Amino acid sequence: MTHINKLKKSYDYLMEVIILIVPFALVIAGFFLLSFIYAVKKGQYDDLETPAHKILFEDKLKIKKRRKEENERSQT
Amino acid sequence: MKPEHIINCDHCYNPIQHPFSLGVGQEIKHFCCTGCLRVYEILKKNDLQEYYTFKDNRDLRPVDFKSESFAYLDGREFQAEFTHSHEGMQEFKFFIEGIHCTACIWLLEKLPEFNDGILSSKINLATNTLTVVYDGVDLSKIASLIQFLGYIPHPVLNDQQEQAFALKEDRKDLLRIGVAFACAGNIMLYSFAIYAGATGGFAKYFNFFSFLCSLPVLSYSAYPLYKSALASLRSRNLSIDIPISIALIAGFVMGVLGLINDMDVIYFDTLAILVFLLSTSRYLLKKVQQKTIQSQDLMNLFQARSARKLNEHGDFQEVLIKYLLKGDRVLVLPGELVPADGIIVKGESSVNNSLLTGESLPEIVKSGDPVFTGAENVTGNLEIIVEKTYSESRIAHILNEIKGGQEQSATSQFARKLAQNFVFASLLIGSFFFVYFLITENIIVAFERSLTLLVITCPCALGLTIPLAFIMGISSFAKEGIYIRGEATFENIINANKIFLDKTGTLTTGEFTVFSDLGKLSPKTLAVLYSLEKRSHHPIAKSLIRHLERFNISEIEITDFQEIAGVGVSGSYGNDHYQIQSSQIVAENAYGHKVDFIKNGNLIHTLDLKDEIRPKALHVIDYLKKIELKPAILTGDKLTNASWVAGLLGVPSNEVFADKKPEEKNEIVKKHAQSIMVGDGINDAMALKNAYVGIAVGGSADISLQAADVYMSKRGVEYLYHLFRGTRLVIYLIYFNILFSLLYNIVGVYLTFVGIASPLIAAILMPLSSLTVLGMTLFFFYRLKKTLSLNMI
Repeated sequence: MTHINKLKKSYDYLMEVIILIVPFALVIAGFFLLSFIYAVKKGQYDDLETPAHKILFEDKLKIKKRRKEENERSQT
Repeated sequence: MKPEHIINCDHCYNPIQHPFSLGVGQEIKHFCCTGCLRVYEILKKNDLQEYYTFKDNRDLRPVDFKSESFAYLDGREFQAEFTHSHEGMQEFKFFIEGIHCTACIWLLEKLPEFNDGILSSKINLATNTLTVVYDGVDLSKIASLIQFLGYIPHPVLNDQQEQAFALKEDRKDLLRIGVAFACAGNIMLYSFAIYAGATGGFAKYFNFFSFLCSLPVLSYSAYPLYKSALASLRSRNLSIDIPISIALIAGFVMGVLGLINDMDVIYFDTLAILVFLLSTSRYLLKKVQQKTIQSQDLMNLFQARSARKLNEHGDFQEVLIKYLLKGDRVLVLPGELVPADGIIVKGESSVNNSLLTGESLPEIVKSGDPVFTGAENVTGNLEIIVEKTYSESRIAHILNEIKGGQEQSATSQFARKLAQNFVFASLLIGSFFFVYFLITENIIVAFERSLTLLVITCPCALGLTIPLAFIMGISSFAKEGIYIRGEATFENIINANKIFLDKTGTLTTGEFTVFSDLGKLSPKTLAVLYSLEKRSHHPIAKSLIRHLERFNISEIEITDFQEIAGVGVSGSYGNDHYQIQSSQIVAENAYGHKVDFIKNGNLIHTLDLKDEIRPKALHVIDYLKKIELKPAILTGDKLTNASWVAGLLGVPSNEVFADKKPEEKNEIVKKHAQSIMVGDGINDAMALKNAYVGIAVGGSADISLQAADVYMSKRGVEYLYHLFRGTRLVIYLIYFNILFSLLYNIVGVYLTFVGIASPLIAAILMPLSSLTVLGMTLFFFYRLKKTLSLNMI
């Protein structure tokens, strides 16, 4: 009998972990929600068709050069 | 396997007959035309051959070079209105015709490689637009470059404010859905624990978190629902947003009370899911509608046509039509459209008014005659003095008429009415429940029962599946090239009892078919005929050329070429003089046109040309009669022509309306309530707008699209069958869904009344019923596609 009581008690202890886990899960969910909000605000959902075609493109030559120059200019 | 002797163009992959070859290093490249060769060369020069690695060989036409000048793009007035200045750089938007694959996007975004003045170029495939940012380069150069690469650029009015607003709204909708989904997902997890049997402290704990997560859903995500509920209350209408709002607020209050008093009531999950499903379906509906109504852009395209205006230096300079002023002198070349209403001051020609009046043959005009916007100049150069500015012209008048009627909401009358009755009934029964149980039981039972009722009768079939059925209907038609504007159109098509069909281009092919046996003529004579007609812009000449091309004739040198408007063409080959002119003897009731071919004054052949009836027109007319749509012919063409077509198709002669001007067509259509008008061109635009349902057919009619409820990109009456059969099936589906949800609701009300259904059961049943109708709708459209393609006549 004591054996069963002991088991039940340890089970209760285990369940109490949930009280910690739930808010923690909520924080993780909140993180993903925030990143979704960030993505929407940055316009990542504005055009869902074109980027799919561009996945293999590479910037090169003048465009790349110009971007590099712009970056350098903005750094200085 | 391809036979080896067929060479394909290295640019457009089309088979070639006479290759243009170019040695590139070790290998030799072949092209079908100089256009493709030039594009290949410019790509090679700029080290952009990577283009070919992205390219697939679908749907590509050989590069067609039109040496259109874009000088009007550099005009000051144009730049002020169309370009957008940003930190010293200019931004401009083109609508691009001819984007077909990944390689096109790649190439068009590489514009900065070609010209240092172009800073960036970005494609939006959803709208087919290209936004360029440039500095220190003429816009006309950029346009020419795009054209050089084989695309057709059209300027688009860059309304920054309107676009920014639409974008902001769009993002807000997405955020609302995202928040609702995240929160509803978490709430479901907590509720699951409670349903699984968590009690006491744990139950309270989970319930508390459900409450926390429901806060953003019920305040932020559901905000548009409350707003529209309030708006409909103010305008004394019952919309489905009212019971939903009541259920949301009451459910929330009840849930909070339950949380405080430790009661076993869980509503937060139901409410959150409800908000998520509703806002998602509404967002999808909006998206599909936006995609189908891109005709707005086409309106801009028409205004963006250019004209040659005489400037102070005595040259003709290109400007946009809308910047022409009264008194300006304008040059119109053969094959061009008249840019403004005006009087001819120099030149003689014939003009084709078919866009405006529907008449199939050109009219002769000379100095002193008026010409109208949109008419096509066929034979000679014309110089006209502008009488009316674009905004005062006849065409602008027609366009404004059309625009005026567009504001009316296009949502389904039927669905709205049904929803109102539904809402009224559920509110009535809800309050009855509340009073009844307040008397027989206590306030908590009364509150709970009436809330359960509101949730269980939540008109999901209406809120979700009716819009969904319309969306799916609209988009599956759009895939077939049939664009339907607004949900109300579906019902109107079913309710109509009369259909007016335009003759030219709808029932007939709109092209003249040659009914004479030309095989008897010698190849030399045919070559003369071909070469003479090749130089004319007359519709009959164009049809003749199309017919002659199957005889494999090459063009020969014609001297003394002369085109006399309204008579015909003449010219010499060798020592012989040839004339092609319309026949002097025309029988009174004959259909079609006769053309004489004369050599040195002797008639050698009379050509017989007819505007041929489309092969499937008869079947379609029979189908229309079967579904009790009375067919009638409404045309601007002569009565003899219209009667001939009517006779062949079995349309009664008292249903033939011929020789009608646009205004008269409009009157006739207006007189018949619940009539469908099928037509094309500007001449039908007014009638299309005022008809119960306007159906525009064919590609040229950019303006008809503005007026019509339905636009069919493919010409031909046979697609009407598709449209009518499809809309009928969609409406049947909706009836079925409504029937199902009515049944479900009656059962639900009964279960709630006897107390079997708790809010928990309501919360499970509600999404379950929604899923059922959703599944049925999806399955239906899966079948619809097959049914339509099988039943194609």
